[in-house]
Parts: sequence; structure tokens; C-alpha cells
Amino acid sequence: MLDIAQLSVSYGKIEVLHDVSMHIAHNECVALLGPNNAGKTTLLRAISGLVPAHSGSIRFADADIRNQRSDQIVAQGIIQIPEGRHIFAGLSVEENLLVGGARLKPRARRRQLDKLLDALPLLAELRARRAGTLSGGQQQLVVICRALMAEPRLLLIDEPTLGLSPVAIDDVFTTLRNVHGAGTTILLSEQNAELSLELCSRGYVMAGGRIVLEGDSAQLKAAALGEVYLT
Amino acid sequence: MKAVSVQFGFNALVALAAFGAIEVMPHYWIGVIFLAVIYAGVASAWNLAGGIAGTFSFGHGLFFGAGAYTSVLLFTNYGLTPWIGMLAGALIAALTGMAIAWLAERCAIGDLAFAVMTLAIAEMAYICIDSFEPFGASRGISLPPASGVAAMQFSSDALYLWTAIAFLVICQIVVAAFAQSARGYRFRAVRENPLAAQAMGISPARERMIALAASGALTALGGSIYAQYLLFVDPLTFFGPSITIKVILFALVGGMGTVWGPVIGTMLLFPLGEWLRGLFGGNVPGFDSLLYGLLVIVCILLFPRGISGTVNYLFRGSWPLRSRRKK
Amino acid sequence: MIGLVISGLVQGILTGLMLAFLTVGMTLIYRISRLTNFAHGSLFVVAMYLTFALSRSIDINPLLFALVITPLMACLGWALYWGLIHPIRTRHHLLAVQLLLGLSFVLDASILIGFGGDLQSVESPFNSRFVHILGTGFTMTTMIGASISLVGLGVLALAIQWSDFGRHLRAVANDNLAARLAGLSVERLEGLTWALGVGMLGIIAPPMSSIVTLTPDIGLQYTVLSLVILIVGGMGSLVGTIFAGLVVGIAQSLGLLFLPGSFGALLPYALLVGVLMLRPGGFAALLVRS
Repeated sequence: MLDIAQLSVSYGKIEVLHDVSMHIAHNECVALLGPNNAGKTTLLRAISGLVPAHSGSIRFADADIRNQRSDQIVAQGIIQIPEGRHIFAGLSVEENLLVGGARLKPRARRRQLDKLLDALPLLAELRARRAGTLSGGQQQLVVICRALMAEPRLLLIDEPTLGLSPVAIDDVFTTLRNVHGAGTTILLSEQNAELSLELCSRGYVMAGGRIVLEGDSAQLKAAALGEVYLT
Repeated sequence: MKAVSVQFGFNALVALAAFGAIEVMPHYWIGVIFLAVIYAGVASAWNLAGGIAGTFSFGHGLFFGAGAYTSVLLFTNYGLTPWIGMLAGALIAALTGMAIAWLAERCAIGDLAFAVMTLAIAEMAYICIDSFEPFGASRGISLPPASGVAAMQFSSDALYLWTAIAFLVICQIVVAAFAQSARGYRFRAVRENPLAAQAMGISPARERMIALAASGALTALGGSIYAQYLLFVDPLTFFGPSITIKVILFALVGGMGTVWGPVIGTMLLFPLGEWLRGLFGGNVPGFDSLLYGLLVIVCILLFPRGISGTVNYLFRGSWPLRSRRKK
Repeated sequence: MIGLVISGLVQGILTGLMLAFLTVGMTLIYRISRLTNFAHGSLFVVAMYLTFALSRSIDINPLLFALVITPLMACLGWALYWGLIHPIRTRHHLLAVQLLLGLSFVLDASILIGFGGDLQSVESPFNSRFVHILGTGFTMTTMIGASISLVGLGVLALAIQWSDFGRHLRAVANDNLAARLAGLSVERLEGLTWALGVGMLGIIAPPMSSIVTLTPDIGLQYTVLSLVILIVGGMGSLVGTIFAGLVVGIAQSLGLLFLPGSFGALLPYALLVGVLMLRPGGFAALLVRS
């Protein structure tokens, strides 16, 4: 579904991603592991068209999407949940979700909103609240649902559990498991290797802007690289 | 300090070349160059606060006018020579600048609010002077003719030009000395990130007060000299917003935050504007500001980092002023 | 005395509504792209001179010219964004300020060259008809201008709260990155906001041009006045802008009545400096806190 080949990305004169290649099949859940500064966020941003890639290719469903505008990429169903809870703090929960479905027709958007709120009664209770007043875990839930409003084909998730309490982390992973169970392809960048390898069947490990290891979850766990890469 | 002496040498060289040129220059062009040099000095002074220390003032007309009015009033009322009068003007401007920076810092207002606040203060001063009878209100004050170097009234325009050049040289030495000293680095630290600077023990309030005081004082000197050249002061010319706006345009097109950028910008834009006006506009009113506006737009679109910044980038690979906007 | 104060207050409220409507375009642009449109006043003056030019060649009520001028100004705003602002949008925001100042020079000078420096005014049949409020007569033009502003501000507030465009605009203002990732085309939205913000000047210009005296050099004054209202209103808050517009309008009209000479013109500036000193967030901070 997503094919990345020899992708390189630079900020100014400094190359931060070198020759990254990656493949994600339909309905897969793939983990992207690695320490801080490994280039995970940059990779996800390059896929979403937020930073330009200067060489290599990114293909999605057999179409070249490298260096398309971010709104064109979203239109094809690649939705990213960015790092650090980028919520529209001044908008209500419901408005946050409606903006997430900006690309849908009004009626389809309403239907999708009702569907999500039915599935998550907690959010239905909060729908009129200003999103900025919610707790961290609730905000993350809103952000995930906002992405789901766009009916994603491929969901890119960047560090969804950063700064959350253990209970909230469990909630987030339960939600992600349901999303994956419903047939959405996921690329999950996460520092918590144990949890993400439980959810995902396969994974890549990045360090220093390169992919240094790939394999299925069992292999990655067995490789016992925890001390080296997966801290 | 080595770089300062290089600056010095460069100044001397320019002066030498200018000396030959001025002796053979037609009268009209001496007037144009005089104005250009005054503008260049004021642009450089503005740049010390606005470009280097990030204290983006829109109210430099206040300092310019304060300098001019102080020296003129001291001369007409007390017969004090403008050579000393202009120092008094510079002192007043410096204190005003310090007060403005202190107020702004105490109230922790942002960049843009500061710019508009300075604009408002300058505008208030303009309106006050414009209707203050003892200072001649909107009619202004004419200097009594009193030919003589002591009264800073010269027989030839070339001498005025030399005074202006001396003023520019002083501006450049002061700015260069600031830029290369430890204080200059503190200015830049405050510009780039006041919070981080504060965490390192730098006081943004103090740095901004110093920057605006120095910048205001230099600007006031320029105002005094310009008043002596015109033999006349009025609120619109000296306190009005047009001088500030023009000076910022020159500094920006030349390259904000660099030592020579504002001078280069003025020396290119101002005579170019005058020349183009002579070429096409003739006496159509408004034609010169039309040209300025177009020049500014074209320059910003072609060299968004300023001329001097672009040159700097080509040779050294670094921008003097980075974007504060986050992606 | 009391009568004078009351008529000053009413005059101030009417003027304030128009000033608020005049500024709100600048507020929207500031809110979405964090840019202050320093050419705002000059663009407004362009719209007023367009009214003047049309009123000279076509003999109908000048208020009707809004139907032509509004779309024209909107196109101008849109072109302005794509031609001048978009190429430098990732650079330092003061660069855009400078560019817009340059533009205001060009606009002011073009008007001066095109129309000359004489004082002009637009004749309107409504100027000689009066409406009495609390014992003071106000021209029909003033009343219509204020009404248009009131209705316009109301419609705008509703649109920002309830329409897709308004929601998207607030989303971009809240979090640019998240808005991009939600598939909003931020550039397109910014362009539309410029079209809206500048287009609105075309609505208010026809009534204003029959109220004030036109000279080519008043652009900067209007820019400064709008800036004062924008900042006093708390940078980007719609309600704050309306409130600040009213306060500035009242201050101006009371100042003209009770202060000698041109000192009345000082009041808006003094107000700005005072508000910044006491409450840097402007009135919006006051509203949020209470």
C-alpha cells in the first residue's frame, strides 16, 4: 500500500534522513521504533508532505505522492496524528471532529461524526466542551478521533502516548487496537517498544536517520535489542 | 577589535574617494547625497535597535524631531551653538528611548505591539508639537541667519555634506563597536530569544534600553544636522511618520541586523529614487513615493534577506536574521 | 452640557461601529496568518476613491456602488495574497510588514497621481436627510453606514462560529500544523481570508466616503487607527475588535468635543499606550479574565 524507496530528506544543508526504504501492506500495523532524534518524526512528516524530500520515492496505492501538497495527500486517505497533541484548543470537541472531516461532504461528515460519537460515549459527553480544557488523555482521544473522521486508509501516528498517564496509555492503545481491527492500515511511531510490538505485527527500527533493523514483532523482541535501540 | 579598525580604514577610504567627487559635483547632486548620507546614518542608527537588538521601533521620527527641535530651540532662545545643542538633543532622545524601552519591557508587550506603541507615541508627539504655539505649531521655526561655523551655518553645501559624512562615520563606528562587542552578542541573544537570554543572565530590559537609547541619540544627531541644513524645522518633516518609514525601508532592503546593510540600502535606493524621478516623473507629485514603494516591493521579493544579507549568505553561508516563524 | 455628552456618545457609537467594521478585516487576516496588513488604510482609501470616481460618472446613489467595489476589492485582496504575501510567507513577519508599507506608498501615490491632491467628497442625497436620536440629528449616511457595519459584524460573527469556512479559519489560527494534517489547504484559506478582509472595505467605503473628506494621504492614518483598534481589542479577537472600535469611536468624538484644537486626535493613541501599559493583552484579556 505504501512504498518508500531510498528516501532522503534535508533541512537546509543537513541531511537528516538517508536512503530510507519501507513497505507497508494493506491492513498491516507496522511499528516504527527508535530513540529520540532517529528521524521518525521527519519520516512521517515527509510522507504527509510537510517537509520536502529531495530524492527517493514515496508511492501510495501505486501513485507517486512525493512532494505533493499536504492537503492532496490527506485527500488520498493518508492521515497523520502528529506528535505532541496538536488539538484545536479554542474549538469545541465537536468542532475539532468536524474539522477532521473537512474533506467529506456535509452529510457524510455528520454521519461519520454520529458513528464515532456512538462508538465512544465518553466523547459524546464532552462534545460541547472547549478542547483546550480537557485532560491530556481526553485530548489525545479527540485527536485520534479527529483523524478517524477523515476515513483514513493509512493512519500515521507519531508518539501518541508521549506524556500520558499509564491509564491513558492503555486507553489510547485500546482505541488503536479497535481502529486496526476495523481494517485501517497503521504506521505507529512509538518509543514504548513493548506495547507497540504487541499491537503491531511487524516493525522497523531507526537510528541516526537510517533504518537499521526490520522484522516481525517476535524477531524484534527476540533480538533483545532493547538496550541498544529501544530505550 | 581588529574588525573595527578595518571598518575605520574602509570609512577613511570612502571619505577619500568622496572628497574628490564632492569637489566636482553639481549643486543638485550635493543636496541629494547630503540627504542620502543623513538617511544612511539614521537607517544605521535605527538598525542598531531594530535590526541588531530586535527592538523594532516605528517611532524614530520622535528622536529625529527631538534632536532637531532641541538644537534649534536652544539656538534661537539662548544662542547656544548647535554643536552643543545637538548633544543636548541626543541626550534627550537617549532618555526618551530608555523610558520607552523600560515601559514596554515592564509591560511585557510583544514585537508588533511595541512597533505600534512607538508609532503611537511618535504620532502623539507629532500632534502635540503641531498644535503647540510656543514651538511655532504647524508653521515650524525658522533659524535666524547667522553665518558662521559656530552657528553651524556654512557658506557652501559641500561643508554641510562633510558634516553629514562625519555623522555617518560616527554612526558606523558606534554601530560596529556595538555589533562586535559582547554587548552586541547580548543584543542578538535578546532578539533571537528573550526568554533564553534571560535564562543566561542577560536582562532583556537593560539591553533593549541601551539599544534604543544609543539608537535614539544617533538619530537625534542626524535630525539636528538636517535642521541646520534646512535652516528650518516643522513638525511634519521632522516628527512625521515618513522619515521613520523610509529609514526602515532602507535598512530592510539593505539588510537588517548587518552593520553595513542599512548604509548600502540607502546609498542604492535613495539616489536611484531621485534619478528615476528626474528621468520619468519630472514634477508629478507623488511620483517619488510611487517609485519607492515599487522599489521596496521588488527588492523584498527578489532579496527577501536584504541585499547585504544575500551577499553574506553567498559568501559565508549564514543569514544574519533568521525567520522566527515556525513551520 | 448633558445633551452634548449624549450626542457625543451616540456619534461615537455610530462612528465606532464603522471603525470596528473597517478593522475587522485586518483582525481576520492577523488571526489566520499572523500578519498585520499595513496597507489596510491605503486599500480603504483606494475603495473610497473608487466610489468617488464612480459617483462622478454615474448618477445614482453612491451607496449602490458597494455592489461593484466589494467584489473588486475582494479580487484585489486575493491577488495581493498570491502575488506578494505568499512568496514571502515563511520569512520574518516584519518583512511582510515592510512589503505592505511599500504597497501603501504605491497605492497612496497612485491616488495622488490619478486624482490630484485636492480635497474631495462624495455627494450623497442621504447627506441632507437627518435622523434624530435623543435630540441630535445624524445624517442618513451615518445611520446607514453604522447599520451596515452592525449587520455586517453580526453576519461575520455568525459565519465564523457556524460555517465551515469560519470553523476552518479558527482551526488554522489555533494550530497551523494540525490544520494542514486535517487536510485543510492553509494557503487557500489564507487567500480567501485576504479576499474577505480586503473585500469588506468595499462595503464600508461608499458610506464612509460621503462622511469624511478625501485626500490621498489619509491611508496611513486609517492604518494606524485600525492598528490601534486591533491591539486594544487584543490582537485577533472579534468581540475585542468590536468593543475596541466602539471605545475608540467614543474617545474620538468626545475628544473632538471637549479638548482644544487637535488634541482630541491624541486620544486614540493615548488610549493605545494606556491599554498596553495596563493590560498588554488588550480588552480580550479583560473579557476572558472576567
